[in-house]
Amino acid sequence: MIEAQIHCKTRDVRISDLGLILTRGAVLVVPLGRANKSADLHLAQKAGAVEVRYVERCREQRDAEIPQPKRKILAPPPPPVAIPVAGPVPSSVVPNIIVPIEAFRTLIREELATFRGGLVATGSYAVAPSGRGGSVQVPQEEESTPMFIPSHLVGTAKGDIQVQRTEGPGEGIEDAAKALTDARRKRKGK
Amino acid sequence: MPKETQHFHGIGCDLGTMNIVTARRTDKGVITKRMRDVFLDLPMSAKKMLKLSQTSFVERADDILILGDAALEVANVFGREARRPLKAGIVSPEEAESLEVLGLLVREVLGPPKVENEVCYYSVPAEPVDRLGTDIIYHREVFRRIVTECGYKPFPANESMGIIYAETAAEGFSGVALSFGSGMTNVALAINTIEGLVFSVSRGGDWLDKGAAQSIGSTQARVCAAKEAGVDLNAPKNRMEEAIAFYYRALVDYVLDKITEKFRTLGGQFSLPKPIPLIVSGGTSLAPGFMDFFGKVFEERRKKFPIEISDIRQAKEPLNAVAHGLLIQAMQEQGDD
Repeated sequence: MIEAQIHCKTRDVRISDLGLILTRGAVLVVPLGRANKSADLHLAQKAGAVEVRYVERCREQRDAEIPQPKRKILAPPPPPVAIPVAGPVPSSVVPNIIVPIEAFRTLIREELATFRGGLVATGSYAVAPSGRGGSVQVPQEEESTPMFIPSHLVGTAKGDIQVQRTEGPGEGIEDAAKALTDARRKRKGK
Repeated sequence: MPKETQHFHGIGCDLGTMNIVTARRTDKGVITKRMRDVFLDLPMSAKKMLKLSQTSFVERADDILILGDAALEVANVFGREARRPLKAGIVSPEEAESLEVLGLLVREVLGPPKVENEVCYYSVPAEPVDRLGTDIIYHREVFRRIVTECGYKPFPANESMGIIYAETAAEGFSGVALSFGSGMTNVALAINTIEGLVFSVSRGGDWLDKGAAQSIGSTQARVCAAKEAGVDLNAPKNRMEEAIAFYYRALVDYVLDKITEKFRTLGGQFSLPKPIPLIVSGGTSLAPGFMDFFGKVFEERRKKFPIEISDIRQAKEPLNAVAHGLLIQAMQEQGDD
């Protein structure tokens, strides 16, 4: 919708056919149709008593408010139940089992070896300070990082597999092997 | 079928992203065995069909595995993508079954050892300079275990150094070797058998196929098939061939840039008494006209290249050069034993 915005630039002005009396600085908005038909407004504008600007008004479209689901009021949680604290166990009740540590380690290794394959290399551990004044063990990554490669990669699966086989003269291979042997011996001799 | 004599011991095994190749010396020459490094798993119900079509397969507890070239053919029939146990040159972290499949593939290509603990040199790529955080330790150790389980004494060796041993005996094992593989491109500089610098870049045939396929809205498999059928890089005949040629150029540019960058870091550590040869090898270098193409690109950069190159030549057998070089090392090692 386009409207005429009338700004009064003089001490006061009367626009009779619109029924308006404006003083300096007053701003009034009238519909465009009415403003166009007003001869007094046209005269006042020509005389410099008013300034007319045309403005377009837009109506803002807003989405309807989405109704929020009503909150279900939950029942208050039950009061905490006091759990009786167990008293100290007399030392005579706890069995004193002594496990030889090396035998225990061997047993674990044997158990793991059956389904985990072997380790390619072993890592090392460095002691790093912990936040509480003690220390924790931090694995140190080396060039030969421990990794898991399953055992028995070459399975026993059998079948008829076609391999392309060619025989060539292998020119120079024998000579190259000899030359390599000589070159390496020469280097070792130096 | 030729029989291998018992007195030649030692074997070389090139473990590539696309092919696994072994080389063994016989009294008549060298026997090379090759197998495509791909597989396909199918349900048990496909067994009858495979038998009728005379396709080789391996039966497992609850499925069937098709290995090698046959996997690619059957994958097309079933509208599936063949799986690859290696990705970008190293053991694929995405293929959970890859270790078992690699075990089967290597077992078939190596065959049984001729003597107990026969020496086996197997290839290991160098760490890529453009993919930080990738190391080859896991890859190397997986294959050490596989080769050991096959009954061999394993020796890991750098892939592109294999090319040096196979191709530069006349130059006293001095040269620059480039192995344009499927998953990556390996580079080595050696002076009198001493490994001066080895590294790899993570671009190779697969990168090229992917880039060309994306640029023309095709699939990687189709581009790979067109490339392997033979594309003349100096005279492409259609849109796909042109895209392949563009990506070949980008690959060669990239590799030469990385070599220049890396060799400059060496500074004056190496003194070359005379110019050394540059050997080009690998399956990606088999495209017709590749050597002319490579030569042209190299000549544009010769002035800026940090090493004086005497000549550029292709390995005698680009698919087998690494395996031959590893065999040479195995023969030498076996001789020392």
